[in-house]
Amino acid sequence: MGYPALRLEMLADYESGCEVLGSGGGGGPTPVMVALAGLLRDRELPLLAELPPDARVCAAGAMGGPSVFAERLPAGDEFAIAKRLLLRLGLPAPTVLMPVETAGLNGPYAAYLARVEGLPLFDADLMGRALPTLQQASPAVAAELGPVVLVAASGEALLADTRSADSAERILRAAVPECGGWGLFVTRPFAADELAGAVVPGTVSRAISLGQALRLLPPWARGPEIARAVDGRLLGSGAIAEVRRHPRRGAFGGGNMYLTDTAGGGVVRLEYQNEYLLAAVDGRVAVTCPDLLIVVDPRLRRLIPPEDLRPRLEVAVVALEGPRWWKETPERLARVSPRAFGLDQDPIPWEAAA
Amino acid sequence: MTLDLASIRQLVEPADPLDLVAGAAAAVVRGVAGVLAGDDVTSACRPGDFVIVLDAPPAAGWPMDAFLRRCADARAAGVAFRRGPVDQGSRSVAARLGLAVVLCDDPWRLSVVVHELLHSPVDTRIGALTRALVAALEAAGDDLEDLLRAASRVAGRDFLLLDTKGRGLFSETTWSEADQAVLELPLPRSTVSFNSVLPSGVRLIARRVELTGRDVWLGVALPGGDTVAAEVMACGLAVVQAAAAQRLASLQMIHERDSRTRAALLSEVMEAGPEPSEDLLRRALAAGWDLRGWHVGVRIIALGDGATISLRDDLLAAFAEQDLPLRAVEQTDGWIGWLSFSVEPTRAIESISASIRRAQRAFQSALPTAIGVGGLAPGAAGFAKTLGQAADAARIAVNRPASGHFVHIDRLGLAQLLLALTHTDVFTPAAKGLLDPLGDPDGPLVTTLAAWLDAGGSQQETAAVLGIHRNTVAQRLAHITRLLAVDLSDPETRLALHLACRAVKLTP
Repeated sequence: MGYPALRLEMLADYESGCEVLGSGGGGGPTPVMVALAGLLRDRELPLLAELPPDARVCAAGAMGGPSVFAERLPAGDEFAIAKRLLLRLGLPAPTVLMPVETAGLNGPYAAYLARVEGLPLFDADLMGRALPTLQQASPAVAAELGPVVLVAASGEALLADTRSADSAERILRAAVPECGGWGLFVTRPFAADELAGAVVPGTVSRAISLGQALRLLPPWARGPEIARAVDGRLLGSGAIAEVRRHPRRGAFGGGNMYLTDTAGGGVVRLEYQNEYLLAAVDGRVAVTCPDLLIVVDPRLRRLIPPEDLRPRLEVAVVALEGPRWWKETPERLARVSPRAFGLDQDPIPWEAAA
Repeated sequence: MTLDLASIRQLVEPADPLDLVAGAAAAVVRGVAGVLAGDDVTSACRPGDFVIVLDAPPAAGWPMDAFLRRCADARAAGVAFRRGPVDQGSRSVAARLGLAVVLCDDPWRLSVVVHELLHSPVDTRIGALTRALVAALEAAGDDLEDLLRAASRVAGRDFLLLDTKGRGLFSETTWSEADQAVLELPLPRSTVSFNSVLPSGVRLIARRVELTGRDVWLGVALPGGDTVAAEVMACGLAVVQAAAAQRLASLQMIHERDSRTRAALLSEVMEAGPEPSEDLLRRALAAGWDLRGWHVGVRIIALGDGATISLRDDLLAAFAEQDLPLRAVEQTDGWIGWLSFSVEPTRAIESISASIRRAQRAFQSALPTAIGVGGLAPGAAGFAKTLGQAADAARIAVNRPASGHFVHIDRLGLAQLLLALTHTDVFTPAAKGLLDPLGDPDGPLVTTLAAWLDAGGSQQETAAVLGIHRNTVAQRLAHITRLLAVDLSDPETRLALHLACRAVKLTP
């Protein structure tokens, strides 16, 4: 089921749904959410379940450190700058916007940009969850991603006129620090037929539904009820025993944490980089990326990102099935399975671990 | 053949101390599989294998957890790694999976040793254990506890020093009730070794360590079924027993030397009279004797057969239990002891006397004694005086089972006076007549009455003195009241009966 529009009263659900689809990553959505709420006060944002045949769709999202985003807020004209650059390249003007990932801060950020530009938002994204690199955007597998644009909050813009997602990732990632820690990433405007089968559909609606399911839980609900509400699986709940952070390997840091399940006594181990990527219970790997892992403080009903993990924090670890789009071919799965993150582990099918 | 981790430890240590970071040393190993951390453990490992990884543990976190899981799924008995970090989470996982995890310096050598062990006859294992024990015992110091610790570490089992009833001398042992019952059965003096499976399934092998005056046993507990391990350990035990016996004998020698020193010092103090020299006071103080305070002499005479030297610590412990800081000097027939207080004690002398009584009863199981207690007296002069009183009281206590072989000099004075008064031709027949309804003068009723009157009318103390239950005392007193038709609460009656008891008891 899809929602026809994003309205003010749906924002809180959308926010927590984006956190769930972040699987621990994607950044905190609150600052963008405040700005978005201001824009939706008198007018809703149309959501498109299907693209009109003549649509031109740009995907947009923040690239870089989510924590910097909160300190260095967008100026507001980033998308206009990106659009000017794409037009100068002779590309058509976008008629629809879509999120790169409907996760973390990027879900609300795309909605914010669409509302500022007066464009409808496509109810789909390029990742289906939070993922760290451009190679993990669906058109990088199913179509051609580039050319792409990166715009700093201070107004500088960088156009990478390349078809390869690898080189786009390399060039833009190198430029992110020069942009002040993050920049707005915008793809070229895709034609509607280019995106057929090359996007993860319905992600905005999924985020809203997930958020709604969490909101409707009774106050006494704990791990098992939370897992049931999001159609997920409870891996264990208890106090975090230990958090171990790795020094940076390549672009991203990472680490792991473990807790002892208060119900069954199982040792639940969670491995993360930007997102929670893998969970093992008593040494048996139970859930892997692209399936989703969330760490919830069941009392405050708050999702805990990896950087906020602290020993003795009471949490529930819940797994949700990730976007099926990635599992449809072995080639797609290879892009987002543990090995793509340098973890020597085959992906575990969602059904197999049940 | 199978092995447990403890026997493996015997062979590789002390060169390579194995660190057991999870699981139990009792894990039974049937084979050995040497692998690299990246290898496919599942295909390399057969059930019961000890997986020896020639590398450091996989990265902390899920890689280590997952590796342990694969080992457990292949039903490995344990895993060894080259020494490296293993976090608490992985230790918990191993514990959940029942997998022993060992860290060592040289996994290659460990795998060779385990291989050899698994395929070598018992003699090789005995040789290896004895060699390792001899090396460890030579390195251990003079202290007996250190020695046992070193041996326990090498053998991977705790060597326990036990008394003749199986109770630990250094550490609390936790035998089951059924086991304890078996261990309390007396063994003939000629038995020097013990090897049997106790009711709980634990095998205890032990050897007697003979000392003058009392014996102790050195034992090791093993899983009952493993007869090979028991055979190996029995030989190891013999080695440790020899070393322990030597340490115990030299301990005893030190005790004897100290005891002679104490005896010499005491006789000097007694001869010095009321004004001891400064030098003597200093030497006494160095021995822990403060002659300037207040003293109560406590003379202890052994009634049973026991070496006083070896029991001195038990005696002091029994008194310490009652909060009485006893000093004691060995005599051929017991101890001269005293309690010193730096200021006049606020505690009533009767309460101190009752505490001494309780200590005497507690010490009873080790050695039955007669105890005489002197009066409270200050200074060096008082010291000699109270010790003299205690000696007199103790001599009387030896022949006074009715008072529980306990006599306090302050009460003795009155008793002796009474004795002198009642010992007349006129009084004795009258006394006999008075107590005649109670039957035999040595029978229970007269004895109870006498003890009750001696105890100042305390049924509780009477029961303790006679070693009977309080209710029995009450019932006998009721019986006595009926037979004599007297009122025991009347002081006149009590005086008459008390005198009569004395006269009857002392007249042949």
